[in-house]
Amino acid sequence: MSLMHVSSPHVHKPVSSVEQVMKQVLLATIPGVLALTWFFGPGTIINIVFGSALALAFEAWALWLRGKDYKTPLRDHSVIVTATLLCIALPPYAPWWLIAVGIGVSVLLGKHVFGGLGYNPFNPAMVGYVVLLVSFPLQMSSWTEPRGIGEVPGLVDAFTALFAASSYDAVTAATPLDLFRQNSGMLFDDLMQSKAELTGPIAGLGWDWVNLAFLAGGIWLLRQRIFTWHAPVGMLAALTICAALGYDDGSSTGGGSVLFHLFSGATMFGAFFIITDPVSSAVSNKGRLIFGVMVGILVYLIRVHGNYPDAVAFGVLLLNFAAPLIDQYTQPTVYGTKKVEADE
Amino acid sequence: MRCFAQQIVEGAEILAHMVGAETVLLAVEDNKPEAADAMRQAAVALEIAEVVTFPTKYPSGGEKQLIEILLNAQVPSGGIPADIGVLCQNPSTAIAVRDALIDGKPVTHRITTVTGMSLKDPGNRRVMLGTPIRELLDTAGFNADSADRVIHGGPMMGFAVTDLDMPVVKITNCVLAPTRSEIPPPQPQQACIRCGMCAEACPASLLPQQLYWYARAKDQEQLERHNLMDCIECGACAYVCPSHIPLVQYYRSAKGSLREAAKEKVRSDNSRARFEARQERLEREAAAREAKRAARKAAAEARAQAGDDPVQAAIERAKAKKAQQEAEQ
Repeated sequence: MSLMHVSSPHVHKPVSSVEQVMKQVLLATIPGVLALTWFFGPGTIINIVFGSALALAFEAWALWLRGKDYKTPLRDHSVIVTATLLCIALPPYAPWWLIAVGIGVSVLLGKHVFGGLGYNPFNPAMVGYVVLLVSFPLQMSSWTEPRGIGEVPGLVDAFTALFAASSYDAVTAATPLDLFRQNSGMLFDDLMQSKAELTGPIAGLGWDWVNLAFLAGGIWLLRQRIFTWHAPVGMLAALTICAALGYDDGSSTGGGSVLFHLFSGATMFGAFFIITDPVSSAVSNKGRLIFGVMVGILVYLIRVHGNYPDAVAFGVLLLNFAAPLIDQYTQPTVYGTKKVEADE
Repeated sequence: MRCFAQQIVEGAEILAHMVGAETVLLAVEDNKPEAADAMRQAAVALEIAEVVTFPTKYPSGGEKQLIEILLNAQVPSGGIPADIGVLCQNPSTAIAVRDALIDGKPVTHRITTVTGMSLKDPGNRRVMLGTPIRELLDTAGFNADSADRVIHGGPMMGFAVTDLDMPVVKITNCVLAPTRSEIPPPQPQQACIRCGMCAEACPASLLPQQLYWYARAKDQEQLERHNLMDCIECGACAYVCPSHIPLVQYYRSAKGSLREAAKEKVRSDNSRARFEARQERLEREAAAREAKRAARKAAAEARAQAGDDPVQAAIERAKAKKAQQEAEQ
């Protein structure tokens, strides 16, 4: 027999691998993706399938260029998670080149220029998203009308939109956050009554269900211990407090209600799927709480006072910059370095 | 504990007497009720003793962790339990103390657990110290073909035996001979995704993922700032790591270089002190020579001023002699 020179521990937690973690994140997006599909048609699913295939190709190419083994890392699913998160954030029925640019930027500039998985200082999906948002604002704000207002596009429409965007006339509609952004002179409650898009039970037709679905997926991940509660709770609490403080009984220039902020746009998706990216966020629990709180505050400020209707991507990227600084000041107290009162 | 409860309590009594302890806590994991019962019966003999149970949650049996669980006190960083008035000993140590003091017997044997699926006859054995591990395994029906490692110690902290002729020593509490399916070979290491599962698992509240980065970067300043030396190498972080990173190995190696650096610093401090002392001595000697010279000069000058200049006197004498010669001619 040959004796192996291996370091302790000799046992490992069963069924635990990067692949497993990534798979669980993918599974957790299913409720949200289904909700998006119900209200907006198959566009998101097609985005994800097309985007994931592209992402795998880009990843393999980047690994090959870097002279790395390009087979094993493809199996860890991390690039599919990046692609899925980006494609969920993109409007459904986006043209193919929009997805391709976004995925290319995410995988190449967001991830591989820094050294690949685990080395990226910024959330790759959000890097891709922000580049697209700044470069192609028209395509990035073309959401279709949700079920209940317009006709939900079918599969044929979806493929036409993907590969022959010029011959597809999308019936685009503003999202609730767009309407809120563009509102001038209407009281908040009146605004909520005025448009069919805004008459959902909580915060805009369809969007509240999408947010609830992502919330459900996020809570499942939390229970699976994929991440801790600190970042999501920090972000949602900060957003709640900001919205509550900024709410002025619904004047035309006010900040909008708490529920409107919690269940609009990318709030829940951001809180559970974006800011919980471990690589680019703070490392300690205290740090992650601060990280989440700061993102929540930024999301509120940019939504209400900024130029963009939603702000999760900007908030996350700004805080990615700040993460090393947060780490510097939030090192947990190590055993034996604090004074604990002994029972005497 | 079930078989030697009496001896353990006697040993504990001796130890308590030696250090003047006020209380003795006999701690048993809560999944071993029979051992706890045996200890309770035996502990009646010792008034200050109390049997306590604690959760079986690795590494709750570690000295520092046990002290925190039982006493809600932490051993200070870099210190020992005695710093907070605690002495923590294994039951087998207590037995050894008892045997030495009451029976006058030195430690020549110990009880070792020999287990693993590649053994036909696993169990606890009383083994003579120095017995080769090969011998011990053979008596337990070792099937060498089914194992690819033999572990000295437990599965979490034990080390892989590199030579089966290694002897059983005083710390050999266990020899594991697992089959390949029981403990499979390590999986390939993947990139750290900083998921933080290690930090959740760490009993010392360290940040293993940060330590890993700093260990790879050989950043000794940050390693010290992140309290690498407080790592107890329990392996909980590597156990949960989804990327299969052998974290403990990185920490051991980094700790080694930190210790080496500390020694190097002592050495260089010493030689600097020696160099400075020598410099000082040389300067002192030079100053002393200078002072002597200055003193001689001053004395000479003083004599000159008092009209007692030997040179002048010699000139005078020469002049006088010349004058006398001229006068004689």
